[in-house]
Amino acid sequence: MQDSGAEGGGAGGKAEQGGQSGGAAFGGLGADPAYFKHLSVFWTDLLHLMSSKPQALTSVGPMRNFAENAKAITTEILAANEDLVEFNKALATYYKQLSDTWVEAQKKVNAKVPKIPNDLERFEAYKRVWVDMFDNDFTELFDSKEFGNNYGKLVSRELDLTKHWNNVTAVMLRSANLPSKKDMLSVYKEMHALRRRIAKLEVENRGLKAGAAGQEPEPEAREAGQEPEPEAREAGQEPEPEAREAGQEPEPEAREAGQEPEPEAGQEPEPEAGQEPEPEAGQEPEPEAREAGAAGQERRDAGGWKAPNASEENRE
Amino acid sequence: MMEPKAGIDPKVIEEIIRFGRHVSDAPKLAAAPDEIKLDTTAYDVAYEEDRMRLLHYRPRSEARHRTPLVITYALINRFHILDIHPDKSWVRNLLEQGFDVYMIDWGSPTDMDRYLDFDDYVNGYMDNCVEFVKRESRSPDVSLQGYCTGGTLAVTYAALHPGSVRNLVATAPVVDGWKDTTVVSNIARHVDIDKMVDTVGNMPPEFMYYCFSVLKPFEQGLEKYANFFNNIENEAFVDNFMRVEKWLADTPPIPGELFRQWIRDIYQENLLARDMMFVGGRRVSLKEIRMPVFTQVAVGDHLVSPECSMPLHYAVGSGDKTMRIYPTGHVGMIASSSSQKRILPELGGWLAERS
Repeated sequence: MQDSGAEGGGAGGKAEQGGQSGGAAFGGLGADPAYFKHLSVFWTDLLHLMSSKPQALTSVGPMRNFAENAKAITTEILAANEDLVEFNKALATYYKQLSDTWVEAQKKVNAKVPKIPNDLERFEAYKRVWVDMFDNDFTELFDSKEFGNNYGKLVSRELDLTKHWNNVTAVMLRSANLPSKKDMLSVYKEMHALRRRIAKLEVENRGLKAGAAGQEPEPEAREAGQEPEPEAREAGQEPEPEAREAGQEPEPEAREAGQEPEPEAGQEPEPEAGQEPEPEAGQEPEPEAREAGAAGQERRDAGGWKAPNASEENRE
Repeated sequence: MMEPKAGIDPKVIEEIIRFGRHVSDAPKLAAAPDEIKLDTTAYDVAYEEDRMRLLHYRPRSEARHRTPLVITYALINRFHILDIHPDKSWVRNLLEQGFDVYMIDWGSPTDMDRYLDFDDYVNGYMDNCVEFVKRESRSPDVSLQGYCTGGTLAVTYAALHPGSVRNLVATAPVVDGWKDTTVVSNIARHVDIDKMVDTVGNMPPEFMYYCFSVLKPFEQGLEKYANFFNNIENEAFVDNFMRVEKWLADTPPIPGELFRQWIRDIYQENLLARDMMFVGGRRVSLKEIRMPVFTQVAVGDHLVSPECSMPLHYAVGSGDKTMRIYPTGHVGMIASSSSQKRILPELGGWLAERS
């Protein structure tokens, strides 16, 4: 409700300015859009003041909210109309640019090939000329500063209209006691800040743990002579390095029959399942065995990186 | 045979009838985009964080290079283009050359992610992925490749975390926004980016799609589809066409704050190329990139013009740097038969010497 009041105040301010500077406009010719805006806001305000007091006692529900916010909607729609005029100007220029380019390109094609050929071979050549000429001319247009300027205006005005629409929607959502887009964005922003904060805490925590265990810093930091960079930023995303650090290769699990996804039609067959030799404990498997194992084994589940199984693979 | 009226070649009439028949037969001969599965090479999801996933491709060769390769995919469209077809797969080729390949898939951000920015992507997600790969492969560093806008992220990461990157490969990276001569940069320079992000939040995927659709409006908007119907009986052509179409249409939104910084710092103020961009409070200096750098540029690139990518080669502080300019386009560089025959063998050879 406070927001609504603020918006109303802003609109009132604008009308007042118009009144001071444009008495002639309010004086009644009515051609000035500012006059219509003033007229609307004037009567909305006045009716609101005249009617709201006794009725306010009778209702505190959503419709009451909506009535309170109706003025904000009126103001937005009026402002949107002004932007719509500007948007239409830019849109008209946009289509004029396209149309002019089309005409010019067609003139060039006509100059090169005055008559549309009626045999197949020459018709193919004509088609080629047509496509090349049009592509060149339109690319030239899209590359031009004039197009860029007008397109920038067009998008800008469209965004203004979107803003008005968002504001109207926000008023309606507020009337229904629902969070608006702005409210949701503040939540998203907060979540983003929290994510970063958690990541920072995790890095600090890992540093403390590593310090307590007497471990060396990360290789990158060592090389660059810097503090270790942030790693996994989400809770539980730090991989457990024990197995690797101890020089052990995790034991690849024997792939169960039927877990290997079937190669699809048109795909080359994958390495056959179940052929990888089991590495001996504490030993590094032979490269070949490790390669084959990588195809089917589950990755370590601990520490936040995903342990895919056969059903997850390539199931996008 | 009917006598031609008004001088029209009967072959033209036949062609029109044939074309109409192809249009009506198309549903019988082609799968719908939704029915097509784009992944062709098997992978595991090695690590996940929010929407981002780190994919680890399964090896396809006994030979292994010691340094793993992490590919940073672009912010626009999805990673599938690097593995779009078995015969044109960038990833598969590198696997067959003996590289251990990881890929960062940024996923599809939602409204909740609108406050993610360069810092979150580079110093957060990317760094977590690289640290993960280093630990898993027990390698002190990784080779990092970035494609398109992913190339910019990779360059930024390499400048801020040089100790983690053994080799940097930048494939059509967006670096010097002021030198970019494409339609995309013209639009980017004229958009009120603050108003856009403040109003709509994340960059809507439709906007990106329309920006790209005006690049070659008649070739891409008309001729391409006419060719599709003309070749509807060519199974391989149709399969490839539908895969690429599906990939093109699948572009996720870009987080608002990331997009704001992207447009403002790269295209409007050109801060990256001028060593004046700040990410997470740290200045990004291209001179800090002293590891071997391989820059790949396509002459016919209409999305990232060569003039926009090439300055990287001259700006980095590396003494071991190579630039290759290929006679192809933005997508042709990574997903074509020419990329399989020439570009990937060159890249593989360069990386193998340094891995």
